Amino acid sequence: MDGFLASLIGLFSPYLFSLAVIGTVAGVFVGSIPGLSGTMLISLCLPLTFYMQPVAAVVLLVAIYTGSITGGLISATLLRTPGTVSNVMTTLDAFPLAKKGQAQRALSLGIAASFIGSIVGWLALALLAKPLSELAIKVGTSELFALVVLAMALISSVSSGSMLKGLLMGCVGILLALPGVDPTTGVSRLTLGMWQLNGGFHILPVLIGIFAVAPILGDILDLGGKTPETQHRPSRKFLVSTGDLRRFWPNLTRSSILGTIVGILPGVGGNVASVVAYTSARAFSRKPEDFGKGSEEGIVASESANNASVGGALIPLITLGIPGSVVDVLLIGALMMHDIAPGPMLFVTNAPVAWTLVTTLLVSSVLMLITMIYATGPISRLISLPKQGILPVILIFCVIGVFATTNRIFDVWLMLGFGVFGLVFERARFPMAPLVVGFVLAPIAEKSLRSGLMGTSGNVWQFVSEPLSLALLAASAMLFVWPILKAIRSWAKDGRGGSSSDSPTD
Amino acid sequence: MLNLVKLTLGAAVLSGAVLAGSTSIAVADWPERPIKVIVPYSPGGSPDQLTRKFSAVLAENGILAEPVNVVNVQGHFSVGATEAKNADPDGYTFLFLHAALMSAEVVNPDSGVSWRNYDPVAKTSNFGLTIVTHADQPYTTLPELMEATAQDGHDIKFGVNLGAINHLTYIDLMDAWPGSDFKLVQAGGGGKQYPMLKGGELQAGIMTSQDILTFQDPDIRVLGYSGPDRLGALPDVPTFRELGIEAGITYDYWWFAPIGTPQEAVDGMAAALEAAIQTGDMQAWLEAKGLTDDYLRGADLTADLEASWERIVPIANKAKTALNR
Repeated sequence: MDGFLASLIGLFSPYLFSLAVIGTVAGVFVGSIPGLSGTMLISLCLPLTFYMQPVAAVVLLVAIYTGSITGGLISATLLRTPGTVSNVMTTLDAFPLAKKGQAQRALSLGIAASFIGSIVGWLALALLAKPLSELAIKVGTSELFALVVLAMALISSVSSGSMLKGLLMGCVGILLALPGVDPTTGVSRLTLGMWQLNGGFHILPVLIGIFAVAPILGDILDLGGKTPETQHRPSRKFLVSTGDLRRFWPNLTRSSILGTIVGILPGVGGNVASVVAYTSARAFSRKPEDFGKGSEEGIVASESANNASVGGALIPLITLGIPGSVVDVLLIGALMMHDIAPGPMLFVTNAPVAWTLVTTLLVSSVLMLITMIYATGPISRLISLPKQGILPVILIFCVIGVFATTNRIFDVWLMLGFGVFGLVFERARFPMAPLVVGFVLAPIAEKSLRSGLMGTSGNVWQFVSEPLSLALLAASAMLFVWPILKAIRSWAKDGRGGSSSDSPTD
Repeated sequence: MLNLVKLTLGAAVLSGAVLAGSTSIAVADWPERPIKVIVPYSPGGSPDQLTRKFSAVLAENGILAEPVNVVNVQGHFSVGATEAKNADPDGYTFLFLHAALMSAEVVNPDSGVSWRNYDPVAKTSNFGLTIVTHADQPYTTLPELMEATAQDGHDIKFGVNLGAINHLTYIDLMDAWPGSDFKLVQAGGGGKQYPMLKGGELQAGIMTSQDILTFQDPDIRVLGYSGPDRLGALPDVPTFRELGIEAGITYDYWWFAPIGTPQEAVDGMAAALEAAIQTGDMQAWLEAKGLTDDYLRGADLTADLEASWERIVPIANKAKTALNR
C-alpha cells in the first residue's frame, strides 16, 4: 500500500504527469485515426524510452496504450472505420446508431463503457493480480481450446441476416488465418509459393483493409450519386445517465470481466476481448436482433471489454513477465533495455516500476475519460469536413499506419486488396463480423489443440475429461445445434411452404 | 493537441540529432546517410534488444556518424531475411539474425532462405540454451532428469519449438544420452514454455539464458547450460560438459549485407561493430543478458559460418526427420 501511494504521489510530479497527459492524448489521437494504432505509436516511441528513466518510460507507454484503445471509438462511430483493430466490433453498432442521428449518444455510451471497463481491469490488476495470474497459468491448452471453440460457436450469433452467409464468412476468416509457416512444424503451408506469406496475413492489413479501406472505397463510389448524408455532428453533451448504468450493469460487468480474463491470457488482446464480449452480450441479450443495427448493448460490450483487457494484459506482465498482449511485448522490451526483469520478482527488485504500471493505468484511465469528452468535439468536426477532402486523408493514414507497423509495402497492397474484397462482399450483403471472429480466434484454437494433442500423444480424452473444458465444449455444442433444432422445429410447424423469420436458408 | 504531437515529434527529432553526434570511424564515403538494419522479429524480443543496444552504443560513442535504425519485420523470420536479401546492395541495409537461418534452410526449404544469400559482415556475441524444470519436480540435476526419462519412458513432457534452434539443442542433448525419451510438446520459445511449466503442462523445457534472466523466477530450476563455460549472470548453472554430457551447441548472432554491397560498407560496419562490442557498456550489457562476448569478421567469419553450417546440418536433418514422423 505504501508503494502504491508513493507511486501515485510520484506520478503527480510535473514531469511524470505531463508524460501521462502527452501519452494519453497522443494515444487517443492516433487511436482515432483509422490505420494508426497504439501499437504503432508505442513501437515508434520505444527507442525514445531507452533514454528515459524506467519509471518515466512505463508512464509514457501505458498512457499511450490506454488512450489508443479508446480513441478508435470516435472514427468507429462517425466514419464506420474502426480507429484500431480493437474497435471493430464497436463499429457494427455505433455507426448505425450514429446514422439514426444519435452519434453523441453512441459516443457517450462508448466513452462511459470504456472508462468503466478500464477501471474494472485496473481493479483486477491492483487487487487480484497474484491470484488471477495463478489461475491463468492453470488454463491449459485443453481449456484454452474449449474457450476459443465456444467463442467461435458464437459466430452464428454475431452474424445478422443469413446464417449461411455468416458461417461462410466465419470459414473465410479461418482460411485467412492458415497461410504462413505452420506454427507446430515450422514448415510453410498455403503460401502459394510466395515468401511474403511465410508470416501469414498480418492482422492489421486484413482488418484495416476490410473495415477502413472498404468503406472508404464504398464512399468514393457513392460520391456525387446520392444526396450527401446528414451531418450527425455530435454536441459536447455527455448523454449518459445513472439510469443507463442501472440498465447496462449486467452487460458492463460481464463484458469487463470477460475483457479482463481475455487480457490475462498470453498473447491475446483488445480485439479478441471485444469479439468475445460482443458475442456473449448478444447471446444474453433480450433484443439480439438489434445487434449490428445500432444496439446500445453492443457498443457497451465491445468498448468495456477492450478497455478492461488493458488491465488484464498487464497482470501476467507484472506477475510473471509474460506479455498479455502485443503491446505488452513492447513494454517488456522497454523494461529489459533498462535491465529490469519483469518476472515474479518485479515487486521485490523493482517495486517503483511495478507500482508505476499499476498507478499509471488508473491515472491514464481518468485522463482518457477527460480527453475523450473534450476531444470528440474537435475530432468529429475534422471528420465531418466534406468527404471529398477527408477520404483521401484517411486512406493515406491507413497506408502510413500499416507500413509503419509491418515495414512492408507488400502489406500496403494487401490492405488495399482486402479493401476491395471487403467492398465486394459487403455489397453482396455478407456480414463481416464472423470473418473477424474466425480470423482472430482460429490460430489460438489451432495452436492449443495441436500442443494439447502432442501432450496426450494424440488422445482427445483430455479435452473432454477436464471439467472446465468439458463444460465449455458442451456449451459450444449446444450453441451450434440449437439454431438448427429451432429451424427444424419451425419448419415442421410451418410446413414446407412457410417461411419463418430466422430461416437458416437464404 | 496538435501542438502536443508536434512537441513529441520535435523531441524525437531533437534526440535523433543529439545522438548523431560526431564521427570517428573514417571509411571513405560511408556512411553518408542513416543505416537500416532489418531485425526479422517483433520489437521487444532478444534479437531486437541486442540490435537496439548496438545502435545506441554506436551513436553514444560517436562510432558511426550516421544513426543505425532498427527496422522490425514481423511474421516468420524468413520474411525479413528475404527482404534483406532483395534489398538494394547500396551499403545501407543490413540483416541481423542467428542460426535459425541455417536450420530453416534444412527444415523448411520452402521458406527459400540460405545463409549463402548474403555477404557476411560480422559475428557479434553468441548464446546457448538452458534445460529447465519446475522446482516442484524431483529432478535437481540434469543427469537425474535424463536418467528419469530413460527409465520412465515417454512420461515427462518437454516443451520445444519444433524445427527451431531450441529443438536442435534438444536433439544434440538427446544424442548424448542414449535411451532418453521425452514426450515432446510444441510450445514455442521460453516465453511460451514458462507459463506451461508453471501450470504443470510441461515438466521440463529448454530456453535461452535471456529468458531465464527475464523471468528470474525461483519456481524455475535451471539444470544445465549448453555453452562451453558458465555464464557470469548464471554462475550456479553448470554446463552440459561439466556434468559429463558430451553435448552443447551455441548459436551466433550475425550481421549480413545483401550480396554486392560495397566492400567499404561491409568493412565499415564490421569495424564499427567491433568498436562497439569492445566498449565497457556493451560488455557489461552482454554479461547481464547472458550473452557471450564473441566477435569475428572477414575470412575468419566465413570459415566460422562454414563450420556452423557443418555442425547444424546433421542435427537439423534429424529435426526434419522427427517432424515428418
